[in-house]
Amino acid sequence: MNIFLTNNWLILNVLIPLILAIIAILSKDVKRARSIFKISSIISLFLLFFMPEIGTSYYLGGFEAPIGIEYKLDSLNAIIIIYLHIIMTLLSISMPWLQLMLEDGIKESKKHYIYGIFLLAQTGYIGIASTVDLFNLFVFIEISSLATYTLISLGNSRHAIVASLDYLIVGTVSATFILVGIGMFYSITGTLNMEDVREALKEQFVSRILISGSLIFCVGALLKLAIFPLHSWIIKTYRHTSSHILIYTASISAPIGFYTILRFIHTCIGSDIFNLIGMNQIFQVMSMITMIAGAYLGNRVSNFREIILYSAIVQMGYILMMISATDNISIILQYILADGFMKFIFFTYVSHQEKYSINISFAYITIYGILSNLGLPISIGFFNKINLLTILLDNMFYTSFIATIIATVMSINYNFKMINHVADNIGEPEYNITSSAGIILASLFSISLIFYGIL
Amino acid sequence: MIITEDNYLRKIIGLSIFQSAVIIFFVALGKISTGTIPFDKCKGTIPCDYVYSAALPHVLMLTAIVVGFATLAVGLALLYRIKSEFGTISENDINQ
Repeated sequence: MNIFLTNNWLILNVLIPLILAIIAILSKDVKRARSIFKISSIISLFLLFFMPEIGTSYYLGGFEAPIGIEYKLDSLNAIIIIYLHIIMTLLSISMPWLQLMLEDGIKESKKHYIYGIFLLAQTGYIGIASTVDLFNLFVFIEISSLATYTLISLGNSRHAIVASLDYLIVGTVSATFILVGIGMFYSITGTLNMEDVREALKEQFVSRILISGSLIFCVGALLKLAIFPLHSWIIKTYRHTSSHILIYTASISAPIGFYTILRFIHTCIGSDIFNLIGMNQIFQVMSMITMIAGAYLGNRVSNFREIILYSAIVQMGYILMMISATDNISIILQYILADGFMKFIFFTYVSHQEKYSINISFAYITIYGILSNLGLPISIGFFNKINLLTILLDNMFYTSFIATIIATVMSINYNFKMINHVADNIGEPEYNITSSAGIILASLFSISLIFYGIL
Repeated sequence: MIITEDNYLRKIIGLSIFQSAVIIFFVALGKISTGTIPFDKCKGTIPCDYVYSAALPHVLMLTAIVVGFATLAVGLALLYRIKSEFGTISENDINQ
Protein backbone atom coordinates (compact mmCIF):
# COMPACT_ATOMS: atom_id res chain seq x y z
CA MET A 1 0.00 0.00 0.00
CA ASN A 2 2.72 2.44 1.02
CA ILE A 3 4.76 1.63 -2.05
CA PHE A 4 1.72 1.96 -4.27
CA LEU A 5 0.93 5.40 -2.83
CA THR A 6 4.54 6.58 -3.11
CA ASN A 7 4.94 5.33 -6.68
CA ASN A 8 1.70 6.89 -7.85
CA TRP A 9 1.83 9.98 -5.64
CA LEU A 10 2.19 12.45 -8.50
CA ILE A 11 -0.79 11.21 -10.46
CA LEU A 12 -2.97 10.61 -7.39
CA ASN A 13 -2.58 14.29 -6.48
CA VAL A 14 -4.24 15.20 -9.76
CA LEU A 15 -6.74 12.36 -9.96
CA ILE A 16 -8.25 12.61 -6.49
CA PRO A 17 -9.60 16.18 -6.82
CA LEU A 18 -10.69 15.39 -10.41
CA ILE A 19 -12.71 12.31 -9.45
CA LEU A 20 -14.11 13.96 -6.32
CA ALA A 21 -15.09 16.98 -8.41
CA ILE A 22 -17.18 14.78 -10.67
CA ILE A 23 -18.73 13.03 -7.65
CA ALA A 24 -19.48 16.42 -6.04
CA ILE A 25 -21.20 17.63 -9.19
CA LEU A 26 -23.22 14.41 -9.51
CA SER A 27 -24.12 14.33 -5.81
CA LYS A 28 -26.99 16.84 -6.30
CA ASP A 29 -26.92 17.71 -2.64
CA VAL A 30 -25.05 20.58 -1.06
CA LYS A 31 -24.30 18.78 2.23
CA ARG A 32 -22.75 15.83 0.43
CA ALA A 33 -20.77 18.19 -1.79
CA ARG A 34 -19.40 20.00 1.27
CA SER A 35 -18.27 16.77 2.86
CA ILE A 36 -16.66 15.66 -0.41
CA PHE A 37 -14.79 18.98 -0.46
CA LYS A 38 -13.51 18.29 3.07
CA ILE A 39 -12.65 14.68 2.24
CA SER A 40 -10.57 15.87 -0.71
CA SER A 41 -8.37 18.05 1.47
CA ILE A 42 -8.07 15.34 4.12
CA ILE A 43 -6.94 12.80 1.52
CA SER A 44 -4.47 15.29 0.04
CA LEU A 45 -2.96 15.93 3.47
CA PHE A 46 -2.82 12.19 4.13
CA LEU A 47 -1.01 11.70 0.83
CA LEU A 48 1.66 14.22 1.85
CA PHE A 49 3.04 11.55 4.23
CA PHE A 50 3.79 9.35 1.23
CA MET A 51 5.62 12.01 -0.73
CA PRO A 52 8.35 10.39 -2.84
CA GLU A 53 11.95 11.63 -3.04
CA ILE A 54 12.88 14.70 -5.04
CA GLY A 55 13.66 13.68 -8.62
CA THR A 56 11.02 10.95 -8.92
CA SER A 57 9.31 10.69 -12.30
CA TYR A 58 5.94 9.24 -13.16
CA TYR A 59 5.19 8.21 -16.74
CA LEU A 60 1.53 8.19 -17.71
CA GLY A 61 0.46 4.79 -19.00
CA GLY A 62 4.05 3.54 -18.70
CA PHE A 63 5.16 5.35 -21.87
CA GLU A 64 8.63 6.83 -21.39
CA ALA A 65 9.45 10.50 -21.88
CA PRO A 66 9.74 11.30 -25.61
CA ILE A 67 6.46 9.54 -26.42
CA GLY A 68 4.50 9.69 -23.19
CA ILE A 69 3.73 12.42 -20.70
CA GLU A 70 6.05 12.74 -17.74
CA TYR A 71 5.20 14.06 -14.29
CA LYS A 72 8.15 14.91 -12.14
CA LEU A 73 8.74 15.96 -8.56
CA ASP A 74 11.76 18.23 -8.20
CA SER A 75 13.01 20.99 -5.95
CA LEU A 76 10.99 23.54 -7.90
CA ASN A 77 7.50 22.08 -7.66
CA ALA A 78 7.57 20.08 -4.40
CA ILE A 79 6.97 23.16 -2.26
CA ILE A 80 4.39 24.53 -4.69
CA ILE A 81 2.33 21.31 -4.51
CA ILE A 82 2.48 21.40 -0.70
CA TYR A 83 1.42 25.06 -0.78
CA LEU A 84 -1.60 24.22 -2.96
CA HIS A 85 -2.66 21.50 -0.51
CA ILE A 86 -2.22 23.87 2.44
CA ILE A 87 -4.39 26.58 0.90
CA MET A 88 -7.13 24.03 0.13
CA THR A 89 -6.95 22.70 3.70
CA LEU A 90 -7.16 26.21 5.14
CA LEU A 91 -10.27 26.78 3.05
CA SER A 92 -11.93 23.59 4.18
CA ILE A 93 -11.10 24.34 7.82
CA SER A 94 -12.69 27.76 7.45
CA MET A 95 -15.83 26.14 6.01
CA PRO A 96 -18.34 27.15 8.73
CA TRP A 97 -18.20 30.84 7.84
CA LEU A 98 -17.03 30.34 4.31
CA GLN A 99 -19.98 28.24 3.21
CA LEU A 100 -22.47 30.82 4.38
CA MET A 101 -20.89 33.48 2.21
CA LEU A 102 -19.95 31.28 -0.72
CA GLU A 103 -23.45 29.96 -1.18
CA ASP A 104 -25.02 33.37 -0.67
CA GLY A 105 -27.32 34.27 -3.57
CA ILE A 106 -27.15 30.92 -5.35
CA LYS A 107 -30.17 28.71 -5.93
CA GLU A 108 -30.50 25.81 -3.50
CA SER A 109 -30.48 23.30 -6.36
CA LYS A 110 -27.18 24.61 -7.74
CA LYS A 111 -25.09 25.12 -4.60
CA HIS A 112 -23.22 21.85 -4.89
CA TYR A 113 -21.68 22.93 -8.19
CA ILE A 114 -19.40 25.45 -6.43
CA TYR A 115 -17.53 22.70 -4.60
CA GLY A 116 -17.14 20.70 -7.80
CA ILE A 117 -15.72 23.75 -9.54
CA PHE A 118 -13.34 24.45 -6.65
CA LEU A 119 -12.02 20.91 -6.92
CA LEU A 120 -11.66 21.21 -10.71
CA ALA A 121 -9.62 24.40 -10.27
CA GLN A 122 -7.46 22.57 -7.75
CA THR A 123 -6.98 19.72 -10.26
CA GLY A 124 -5.78 22.18 -12.86
CA TYR A 125 -3.39 23.98 -10.53
CA ILE A 126 -1.83 20.78 -9.16
CA GLY A 127 -1.53 19.50 -12.73
CA ILE A 128 0.33 22.65 -13.80
CA ALA A 129 2.69 22.14 -10.89
CA SER A 130 3.29 18.43 -11.57
CA THR A 131 3.80 18.11 -15.30
CA VAL A 132 7.00 18.58 -17.30
CA ASP A 133 5.25 18.16 -20.63
CA LEU A 134 4.66 21.42 -22.50
CA PHE A 135 1.34 20.54 -24.09
CA ASN A 136 0.02 18.96 -20.91
CA LEU A 137 0.92 22.25 -19.20
CA PHE A 138 -1.31 24.11 -21.65
CA VAL A 139 -4.21 21.69 -21.08
CA PHE A 140 -3.98 22.09 -17.30
CA ILE A 141 -3.75 25.89 -17.65
CA GLU A 142 -7.03 25.76 -19.57
CA ILE A 143 -8.69 23.42 -17.05
CA SER A 144 -7.79 25.67 -14.14
CA SER A 145 -8.73 28.82 -16.08
CA LEU A 146 -12.17 27.52 -17.07
CA ALA A 147 -12.92 26.70 -13.44
CA THR A 148 -11.55 30.07 -12.32
CA TYR A 149 -13.73 31.99 -14.81
CA THR A 150 -16.77 30.36 -13.26
CA LEU A 151 -15.63 31.10 -9.71
CA ILE A 152 -14.87 34.74 -10.52
CA SER A 153 -18.35 35.29 -11.94
CA LEU A 154 -19.78 34.68 -8.45
CA GLY A 155 -20.30 37.77 -6.38
CA ASN A 156 -22.92 40.11 -5.08
CA SER A 157 -22.19 42.69 -7.75
CA ARG A 158 -23.52 41.92 -11.22
CA HIS A 159 -20.34 43.46 -12.61
CA ALA A 160 -18.55 40.31 -11.41
CA ILE A 161 -19.96 38.50 -14.47
CA VAL A 162 -18.53 41.15 -16.78
CA ALA A 163 -15.20 40.88 -14.94
CA SER A 164 -15.32 37.14 -15.50
CA LEU A 165 -16.03 37.51 -19.22
CA ASP A 166 -13.18 40.02 -19.54
CA TYR A 167 -10.91 37.57 -17.75
CA LEU A 168 -12.11 34.81 -20.08
CA ILE A 169 -11.14 36.83 -23.13
CA VAL A 170 -7.72 37.83 -21.77
CA GLY A 171 -7.11 34.37 -20.30
CA THR A 172 -7.89 32.61 -23.56
CA VAL A 173 -5.68 34.99 -25.53
CA SER A 174 -2.83 34.35 -23.08
CA ALA A 175 -3.31 30.56 -23.18
CA THR A 176 -3.34 30.67 -26.97
CA PHE A 177 -0.11 32.69 -26.92
CA ILE A 178 1.39 30.00 -24.71
CA LEU A 179 0.20 27.40 -27.23
CA VAL A 180 1.85 29.28 -30.12
CA GLY A 181 5.09 29.41 -28.12
CA ILE A 182 4.87 25.68 -27.46
CA GLY A 183 4.31 25.06 -31.19
CA MET A 184 7.46 27.01 -32.03
CA PHE A 185 9.53 24.97 -29.59
CA TYR A 186 8.02 21.78 -30.95
CA SER A 187 8.94 22.83 -34.49
CA ILE A 188 12.66 23.29 -33.70
CA THR A 189 13.16 20.44 -31.24
CA GLY A 190 10.57 17.81 -32.21
CA THR A 191 9.71 17.03 -28.62
CA LEU A 192 7.29 18.32 -26.00
CA ASN A 193 9.13 17.10 -22.91
CA MET A 194 10.78 20.13 -21.31
CA GLU A 195 14.03 18.38 -20.38
CA ASP A 196 14.39 16.96 -23.89
CA VAL A 197 13.71 20.44 -25.30
CA ARG A 198 16.59 21.82 -23.22
CA GLU A 199 18.94 19.03 -24.36
CA ALA A 200 17.98 19.64 -28.00
CA LEU A 201 18.45 23.40 -27.68
CA LYS A 202 22.01 22.95 -26.35
CA GLU A 203 23.08 21.48 -29.69
CA GLN A 204 21.62 24.33 -31.73
CA PHE A 205 22.54 27.90 -32.50
CA VAL A 206 20.24 30.57 -31.17
CA SER A 207 17.59 30.92 -33.84
CA ARG A 208 14.87 33.48 -34.41
CA ILE A 209 12.23 30.83 -33.77
CA LEU A 210 13.75 30.24 -30.33
CA ILE A 211 13.70 33.96 -29.53
CA SER A 212 10.16 34.54 -30.79
CA GLY A 213 8.93 31.34 -29.16
CA SER A 214 10.27 32.34 -25.74
CA LEU A 215 8.93 35.87 -26.16
CA ILE A 216 5.45 34.69 -27.09
CA PHE A 217 5.36 32.12 -24.29
CA CYS A 218 6.47 34.71 -21.72
CA VAL A 219 3.98 37.32 -22.98
CA GLY A 220 1.22 34.73 -22.56
CA ALA A 221 2.33 33.88 -19.03
CA LEU A 222 2.77 37.54 -18.04
CA LEU A 223 -0.67 38.42 -19.44
CA LYS A 224 -2.15 35.83 -17.13
CA LEU A 225 -0.16 37.26 -14.20
CA ALA A 226 -1.27 40.85 -14.89
CA ILE A 227 2.11 42.56 -15.05
CA PHE A 228 1.67 46.33 -15.41
CA PRO A 229 0.77 47.14 -19.03
CA LEU A 230 -1.29 43.93 -19.21
CA HIS A 231 -3.13 44.38 -15.90
CA SER A 232 -6.48 45.81 -17.04
CA TRP A 233 -8.53 42.66 -16.43
CA ILE A 234 -7.42 42.23 -12.83
CA ILE A 235 -8.86 45.62 -11.80
CA LYS A 236 -12.47 44.62 -12.45
CA THR A 237 -11.92 41.21 -10.93
CA TYR A 238 -10.54 42.54 -7.65
CA ARG A 239 -13.21 45.23 -7.47
CA HIS A 240 -16.36 43.19 -8.06
CA THR A 241 -15.77 39.51 -7.37
CA SER A 242 -16.84 38.03 -4.06
CA SER A 243 -13.88 38.33 -1.67
CA HIS A 244 -14.36 34.75 -0.44
CA ILE A 245 -13.59 33.49 -3.92
CA LEU A 246 -10.60 35.81 -4.13
CA ILE A 247 -9.10 34.19 -1.01
CA TYR A 248 -8.56 31.15 -3.17
CA THR A 249 -7.96 32.57 -6.64
CA ALA A 250 -5.70 35.48 -5.69
CA SER A 251 -3.51 33.46 -3.35
CA ILE A 252 -3.01 30.66 -5.88
CA SER A 253 -3.02 32.15 -9.37
CA ALA A 254 -0.01 34.44 -8.87
CA PRO A 255 2.30 31.74 -7.41
CA ILE A 256 1.25 29.33 -10.16
CA GLY A 257 1.83 31.97 -12.85
CA PHE A 258 5.34 32.65 -11.56
CA TYR A 259 5.91 28.92 -11.23
CA THR A 260 5.07 28.52 -14.93
CA ILE A 261 7.64 31.17 -15.87
CA LEU A 262 10.27 29.64 -13.56
CA ARG A 263 9.61 26.16 -14.95
CA PHE A 264 9.90 27.53 -18.48
CA ILE A 265 13.17 29.33 -17.77
CA HIS A 266 14.91 26.68 -15.69
CA THR A 267 13.63 23.40 -17.15
CA CYS A 268 12.58 24.21 -20.68
CA ILE A 269 15.14 26.59 -22.21
CA GLY A 270 17.78 26.84 -19.47
CA SER A 271 18.71 30.08 -17.74
CA ASP A 272 21.90 30.56 -19.79
CA ILE A 273 19.96 30.67 -23.08
CA PHE A 274 17.38 32.85 -21.37
CA ASN A 275 20.09 35.38 -20.51
CA LEU A 276 21.80 34.97 -23.87
CA ILE A 277 18.76 36.04 -25.87
CA GLY A 278 18.32 39.07 -23.60
CA MET A 279 15.01 38.04 -22.05
CA ASN A 280 16.29 38.94 -18.58
CA GLN A 281 16.74 42.56 -19.66
CA ILE A 282 13.19 42.68 -21.03
CA PHE A 283 11.94 41.22 -17.74
CA GLN A 284 13.90 43.81 -15.75
CA VAL A 285 12.53 46.75 -17.66
CA MET A 286 9.00 45.38 -17.35
CA SER A 287 9.40 44.77 -13.64
CA MET A 288 10.74 48.29 -13.05
CA ILE A 289 7.77 49.81 -14.88
CA THR A 290 5.39 47.49 -13.03
CA MET A 291 6.63 48.27 -9.53
CA ILE A 292 6.82 52.04 -9.96
CA ALA A 293 3.51 52.36 -11.82
CA GLY A 294 1.81 50.03 -9.33
CA ALA A 295 3.08 52.03 -6.35
CA TYR A 296 2.04 55.30 -7.99
CA LEU A 297 -1.48 54.06 -8.78
CA GLY A 298 -1.76 52.47 -5.33
CA ASN A 299 -1.34 55.88 -3.72
CA ARG A 300 -4.20 57.34 -5.75
CA VAL A 301 -6.91 54.92 -4.60
CA SER A 302 -8.47 54.68 -1.15
CA ASN A 303 -10.63 51.55 -1.34
CA PHE A 304 -8.96 48.70 0.59
CA ARG A 305 -9.55 46.15 -2.17
CA GLU A 306 -8.00 48.39 -4.81
CA ILE A 307 -4.99 49.05 -2.60
CA ILE A 308 -4.50 45.27 -2.33
CA LEU A 309 -4.76 45.07 -6.11
CA TYR A 310 -2.00 47.61 -6.72
CA SER A 311 0.17 46.27 -3.93
CA ALA A 312 -0.17 42.84 -5.57
CA ILE A 313 1.05 44.39 -8.82
CA VAL A 314 4.04 45.97 -7.04
CA GLN A 315 4.91 42.61 -5.45
CA MET A 316 4.73 40.96 -8.88
CA GLY A 317 7.23 43.56 -10.08
CA TYR A 318 9.66 42.60 -7.28
CA ILE A 319 9.27 38.88 -7.99
CA LEU A 320 9.78 39.36 -11.72
CA MET A 321 12.91 41.41 -10.95
CA MET A 322 14.16 38.57 -8.77
CA ILE A 323 13.47 35.97 -11.47
CA SER A 324 15.40 38.00 -14.03
CA ALA A 325 18.36 38.65 -11.74
CA THR A 326 19.15 35.31 -10.11
CA ASP A 327 19.24 31.56 -10.67
CA ASN A 328 18.75 30.75 -6.99
CA ILE A 329 15.33 29.10 -7.04
CA SER A 330 14.85 28.71 -3.30
CA ILE A 331 14.86 32.41 -2.47
CA ILE A 332 12.53 33.16 -5.40
CA LEU A 333 10.12 30.49 -4.17
CA GLN A 334 10.31 31.92 -0.66
CA TYR A 335 9.25 35.33 -2.00
CA ILE A 336 6.47 33.86 -4.14
CA LEU A 337 4.97 31.80 -1.32
CA ALA A 338 5.23 34.64 1.20
CA ASP A 339 3.37 36.84 -1.28
CA GLY A 340 0.68 34.16 -1.70
CA PHE A 341 0.17 33.89 2.06
CA MET A 342 -0.05 37.69 2.41
CA LYS A 343 -2.83 37.73 -0.15
CA PHE A 344 -4.56 34.92 1.69
CA ILE A 345 -4.48 36.95 4.91
CA PHE A 346 -5.61 40.19 3.21
CA PHE A 347 -8.59 38.64 1.49
CA THR A 348 -9.58 36.71 4.61
CA TYR A 349 -9.53 40.10 6.33
CA VAL A 350 -11.61 41.72 3.57
CA SER A 351 -14.21 38.96 3.58
CA HIS A 352 -14.57 39.17 7.37
CA GLN A 353 -14.65 42.90 7.45
CA GLU A 354 -17.56 43.03 5.00
CA LYS A 355 -19.82 41.22 7.46
CA TYR A 356 -18.23 41.39 10.93
CA SER A 357 -15.88 43.54 12.90
CA ILE A 358 -12.39 42.19 13.32
CA ASN A 359 -11.10 40.71 16.54
CA ILE A 360 -7.87 42.05 17.92
CA SER A 361 -5.63 39.02 17.31
CA PHE A 362 -6.69 38.81 13.69
CA ALA A 363 -6.04 42.53 13.33
CA TYR A 364 -2.47 41.95 14.54
CA ILE A 365 -2.05 39.19 11.96
CA THR A 366 -3.32 41.44 9.19
CA ILE A 367 -0.99 44.23 10.29
CA TYR A 368 1.84 41.72 10.32
CA GLY A 369 0.90 40.88 6.74
CA ILE A 370 0.95 44.55 5.79
CA LEU A 371 4.38 45.01 7.40
CA SER A 372 5.59 42.02 5.41
CA ASN A 373 4.07 43.54 2.30
CA LEU A 374 6.10 46.68 2.92
CA GLY A 375 9.23 44.78 3.92
CA LEU A 376 9.80 45.97 7.47
CA PRO A 377 11.82 43.95 10.03
CA ILE A 378 10.39 40.97 11.98
CA SER A 379 8.45 39.92 8.92
CA ILE A 380 9.25 37.53 6.10
CA GLY A 381 8.95 40.41 3.63
CA PHE A 382 12.00 42.03 5.23
CA PHE A 383 14.24 39.05 4.46
CA ASN A 384 12.82 38.86 0.96
CA LYS A 385 13.53 42.52 0.32
CA ILE A 386 17.07 42.19 1.70
CA ASN A 387 17.63 39.17 -0.57
CA LEU A 388 16.36 41.08 -3.57
CA LEU A 389 18.51 44.14 -2.91
CA THR A 390 21.63 42.04 -2.26
CA ILE A 391 21.13 40.15 -5.51
CA LEU A 392 20.72 43.38 -7.44
CA LEU A 393 23.89 44.87 -5.88
CA ASP A 394 25.89 41.68 -6.45
CA ASN A 395 25.00 41.67 -10.12
CA MET A 396 25.56 45.44 -10.40
CA PHE A 397 22.03 46.21 -11.61
CA TYR A 398 22.12 49.72 -10.14
CA THR A 399 19.12 51.08 -12.06
CA SER A 400 16.96 48.22 -10.86
CA PHE A 401 18.28 48.74 -7.33
CA ILE A 402 17.27 52.39 -7.36
CA ALA A 403 13.86 51.56 -8.88
CA THR A 404 13.23 49.01 -6.12
CA ILE A 405 14.13 51.54 -3.43
CA ILE A 406 11.87 54.19 -5.03
CA ALA A 407 8.94 51.75 -5.28
CA THR A 408 9.41 50.73 -1.64
CA VAL A 409 9.43 54.33 -0.46
CA MET A 410 6.34 55.08 -2.55
CA SER A 411 4.53 52.09 -1.11
CA ILE A 412 4.89 53.31 2.51
CA ASN A 413 1.91 55.61 1.99
CA TYR A 414 -0.61 53.04 0.83
CA ASN A 415 0.55 50.43 3.33
CA PHE A 416 -0.07 53.05 6.02
CA LYS A 417 -3.59 53.52 4.61
CA MET A 418 -4.13 49.78 4.91
CA ILE A 419 -3.04 49.76 8.56
CA ASN A 420 -5.42 52.67 9.23
CA HIS A 421 -8.24 50.71 7.65
CA VAL A 422 -7.54 47.70 9.84
CA ALA A 423 -7.34 49.85 12.96
CA ASP A 424 -10.73 51.40 12.15
CA ASN A 425 -12.43 48.03 11.93
CA ILE A 426 -11.31 46.48 15.22
CA GLY A 427 -14.23 45.55 17.44
CA GLU A 428 -15.84 42.75 19.39
CA PRO A 429 -15.59 39.45 17.51
CA GLU A 430 -18.94 38.07 16.42
CA TYR A 431 -17.92 34.61 15.30
CA ASN A 432 -17.02 31.56 17.34
CA ILE A 433 -13.61 29.98 17.71
CA THR A 434 -14.04 27.15 15.18
CA SER A 435 -14.64 29.59 12.39
CA SER A 436 -11.42 31.45 13.08
CA ALA A 437 -9.36 28.25 13.18
CA GLY A 438 -8.45 28.71 9.53
CA ILE A 439 -7.14 32.19 10.18
CA ILE A 440 -5.07 31.00 13.13
CA LEU A 441 -3.53 28.28 10.97
CA ALA A 442 -2.81 30.79 8.22
CA SER A 443 -1.01 32.98 10.70
CA LEU A 444 0.96 30.01 12.03
CA PHE A 445 2.14 29.26 8.52
CA SER A 446 3.10 32.83 7.83
CA ILE A 447 4.99 33.05 11.12
CA SER A 448 6.76 29.81 10.29
CA LEU A 449 7.88 31.56 7.11
CA ILE A 450 9.81 34.01 9.32
CA PHE A 451 11.95 31.17 10.61
CA TYR A 452 12.28 29.83 7.11
CA GLY A 453 13.66 33.24 6.17
CA ILE A 454 16.15 33.29 9.06
CA LEU A 455 17.36 29.79 8.33
CA MET B 1 -12.10 41.56 -33.58
CA ILE B 2 -11.30 40.86 -29.92
CA ILE B 3 -9.99 44.38 -29.43
CA THR B 4 -12.12 46.50 -31.71
CA GLU B 5 -15.63 45.05 -31.44
CA ASP B 6 -18.06 46.54 -28.95
CA ASN B 7 -20.37 43.52 -28.92
CA TYR B 8 -19.22 40.79 -26.53
CA LEU B 9 -20.60 38.03 -28.75
CA ARG B 10 -18.36 39.13 -31.59
CA LYS B 11 -15.40 39.26 -29.23
CA ILE B 12 -16.01 35.62 -28.33
CA ILE B 13 -16.32 34.69 -32.00
CA GLY B 14 -13.01 36.51 -32.56
CA LEU B 15 -11.46 34.33 -29.87
CA SER B 16 -12.66 31.20 -31.66
CA ILE B 17 -11.13 32.36 -34.93
CA PHE B 18 -7.88 33.13 -33.11
CA GLN B 19 -7.78 29.62 -31.69
CA SER B 20 -8.60 28.00 -35.04
CA ALA B 21 -5.63 29.81 -36.57
CA VAL B 22 -3.33 28.20 -34.01
CA ILE B 23 -4.84 24.81 -34.75
CA ILE B 24 -4.00 25.21 -38.44
CA PHE B 25 -0.48 26.32 -37.46
CA PHE B 26 0.04 23.11 -35.49
CA VAL B 27 -1.39 20.87 -38.20
CA ALA B 28 0.88 22.57 -40.74
CA LEU B 29 3.89 21.68 -38.55
CA GLY B 30 3.14 17.98 -39.02
CA LYS B 31 2.87 18.11 -42.81
CA ILE B 32 5.67 16.57 -44.87
CA SER B 33 5.64 17.56 -48.56
CA THR B 34 5.39 14.01 -49.93
CA GLY B 35 3.67 12.59 -46.86
CA THR B 36 0.29 10.89 -46.87
CA ILE B 37 -2.17 10.30 -44.05
CA PRO B 38 -0.54 8.52 -41.08
CA PHE B 39 -2.22 5.19 -41.63
CA ASP B 40 -0.27 1.93 -41.96
CA LYS B 41 -0.56 1.23 -45.70
CA CYS B 42 2.27 -1.31 -45.82
CA LYS B 43 0.63 -3.48 -43.16
CA GLY B 44 3.85 -3.83 -41.21
CA THR B 45 6.12 -4.96 -44.08
CA ILE B 46 9.64 -3.50 -44.18
CA PRO B 47 10.87 -1.60 -46.23
CA CYS B 48 7.85 0.63 -46.67
CA ASP B 49 7.60 3.02 -49.64
CA TYR B 50 5.19 5.45 -48.08
CA VAL B 51 6.15 8.64 -46.21
CA TYR B 52 3.70 9.63 -43.52
CA SER B 53 2.89 13.04 -42.11
CA ALA B 54 3.49 13.40 -38.37
CA ALA B 55 0.42 12.32 -36.43
CA LEU B 56 1.31 13.88 -33.09
CA PRO B 57 0.28 17.50 -33.91
CA HIS B 58 -3.11 16.22 -35.04
CA VAL B 59 -3.57 14.40 -31.75
CA LEU B 60 -2.56 17.49 -29.80
CA MET B 61 -4.99 19.62 -31.74
CA LEU B 62 -7.87 17.28 -30.96
CA THR B 63 -7.34 18.28 -27.34
CA ALA B 64 -6.99 21.95 -28.27
CA ILE B 65 -10.26 21.84 -30.22
CA VAL B 66 -12.05 20.41 -27.20
CA VAL B 67 -10.51 23.07 -24.97
CA GLY B 68 -11.55 25.79 -27.42
CA PHE B 69 -15.07 24.44 -27.53
CA ALA B 70 -15.26 24.41 -23.73
CA THR B 71 -14.03 28.01 -23.60
CA LEU B 72 -16.66 29.02 -26.14
CA ALA B 73 -19.35 27.30 -24.08
CA VAL B 74 -18.30 29.02 -20.84
CA GLY B 75 -18.09 32.35 -22.68
CA LEU B 76 -21.59 31.99 -24.11
CA ALA B 77 -22.97 30.93 -20.71
CA LEU B 78 -21.48 34.05 -19.11
CA LEU B 79 -22.85 36.12 -21.97
CA TYR B 80 -26.34 34.73 -21.34
CA ARG B 81 -26.06 35.78 -17.68
CA ILE B 82 -24.89 39.25 -18.74
CA LYS B 83 -27.82 39.60 -21.11
CA SER B 84 -30.30 38.64 -18.39
CA GLU B 85 -28.68 40.95 -15.78
CA PHE B 86 -27.97 44.02 -17.90
CA GLY B 87 -30.33 43.59 -20.85
CA THR B 88 -27.49 44.31 -23.29
CA ILE B 89 -24.25 42.73 -24.48
CA SER B 90 -22.57 45.92 -25.63
CA GLU B 91 -19.35 46.69 -23.75
CA ASN B 92 -19.90 50.46 -23.76
CA ASP B 93 -23.45 50.22 -22.43
CA ILE B 94 -22.40 47.87 -19.62
CA ASN B 95 -19.44 49.95 -18.48
CA GLN B 96 -21.38 53.21 -18.38
